[in-house]
Amino acid sequence: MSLSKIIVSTERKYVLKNLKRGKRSDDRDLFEYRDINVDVNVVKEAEGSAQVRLGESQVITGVKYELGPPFPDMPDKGVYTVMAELIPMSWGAFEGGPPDKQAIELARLIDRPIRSAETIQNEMLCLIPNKLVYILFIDVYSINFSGNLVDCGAISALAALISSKIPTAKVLDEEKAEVEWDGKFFDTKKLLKNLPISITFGKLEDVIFADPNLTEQLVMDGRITYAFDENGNLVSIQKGGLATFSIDDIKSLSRKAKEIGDKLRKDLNLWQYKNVKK
Amino acid sequence: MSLLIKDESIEKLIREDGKRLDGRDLLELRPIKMEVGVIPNANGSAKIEWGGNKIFAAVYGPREVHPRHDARPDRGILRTFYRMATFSVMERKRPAPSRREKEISMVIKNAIEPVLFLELYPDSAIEVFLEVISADGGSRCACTTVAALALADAGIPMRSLITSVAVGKANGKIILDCSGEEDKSGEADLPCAITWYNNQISLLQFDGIMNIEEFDESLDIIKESLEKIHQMQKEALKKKYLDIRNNIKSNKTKTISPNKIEEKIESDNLENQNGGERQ
Repeated sequence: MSLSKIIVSTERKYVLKNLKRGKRSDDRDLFEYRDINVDVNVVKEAEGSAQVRLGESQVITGVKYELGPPFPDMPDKGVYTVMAELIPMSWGAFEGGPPDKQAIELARLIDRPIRSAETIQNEMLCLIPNKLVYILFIDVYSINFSGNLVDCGAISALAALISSKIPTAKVLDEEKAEVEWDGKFFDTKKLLKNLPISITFGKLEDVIFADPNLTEQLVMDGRITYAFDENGNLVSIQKGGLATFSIDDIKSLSRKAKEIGDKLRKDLNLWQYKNVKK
Repeated sequence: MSLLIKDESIEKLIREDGKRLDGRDLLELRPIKMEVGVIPNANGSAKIEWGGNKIFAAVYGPREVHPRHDARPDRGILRTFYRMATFSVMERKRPAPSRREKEISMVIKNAIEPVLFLELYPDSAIEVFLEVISADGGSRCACTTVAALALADAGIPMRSLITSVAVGKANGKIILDCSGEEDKSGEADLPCAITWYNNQISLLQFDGIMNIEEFDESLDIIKESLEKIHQMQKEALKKKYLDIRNNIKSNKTKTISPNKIEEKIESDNLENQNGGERQ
């Protein structure tokens, strides 16, 4: 599947003409973000879940756990993976089957800030070093693709993690790797630290804008995603697509991203989803 | 792979007071909520919340068939994809399609196809995507019910709607609309779907154990409760249009009167020309 399949060249001209005048198809300013709506605990059987709407874009993320062996190079740390599926339901040109390049890039872009900022305290997820650790699965599903799934998915992953109720265990026998639920759950305020926020900009010819919508995402030349942690440090950048950016633009956009990200972090106040009842 | 909280089978599904574990009577449905037009990209879409089930349905088409050799020159084809999210069940489901998902996809396709006029769409495909976000027993019935809504929302001509529900058996008693735990620990499960244009059954499966009298009784119970769900389906479809009408009435949507449109185009053009000159 290629995004270019259904782009009409006139659409590109139209979007570009308007962007040059500082106008966007949905009446936003160039650096204005769409409204974000977060709902948590939307899935009964998931340990944590969140449904996030960014404009018309919509994703649902679920957190599940399993117990299993750790990676040999991190024997005393838990494991977590992010998977993203761009399901054919969410847009006419997405195809079924195993995740393609786009879906894998999306999953990695959601994973990377969380890993760089060391958001998940994975030493807490170890039960018996070398033998038994928690394996967290953070699975992101697109429900409606309307541009900028990276930022939307990143927020949903954090909201799902924050709202999650993962059972804690006590070790009965280290040799036989026997564990038992102690009736409690992880305190996500301790399990998670330093939440990163991702901000994506699109570029069409020489115009740069924040949070591309569907039409813009289809016609734009490329994008750049910045992620900042709570301390204002950069934790991840990815340039995507064919667009090229000047060094000055990259520098000034990083400041812009931090500014938008700080505001977004404050507005979202993700910790409010910690104790939402099912 | 092991979990800390085990999924154990429950012995007693009917309480002392004759009610079920979730407080329902034996022949009571779980709460059902349906909504139409929830996925803007799709040609038609619907969402259903049925007890703990949460399912999205999206319809794309009629559209080109890929791969081409699947197309039929004399009629359209219907494709149905039943998929479960990895986190929709207690133990994480592997992301690859399972045998179960493939079978249910086919069963649902066969249930829906009789109501469509596929002969109107040669060389095309109508595709129905069903994504189970949260599963809690009876998901194939909920899927069939919500698929009918999404098809109707897509404006695809149909002979009638299709409605589906399951009857089961727990502790020797016939129960309507099994929940997840009743499905697992119960003695029987009988999902059924009806095509209303001819009042016939287009989906029928059975597993478990029942005598022939209980089976007869189950079918009668199903017929009765299907009527109720059918009403809810019709109301959900109407609600979308009632909402549009109410929005227009309360002037929530911006409307431009026809003579103003010309003015707007002119002013836009003027602005464009000016913009062009500045460059």
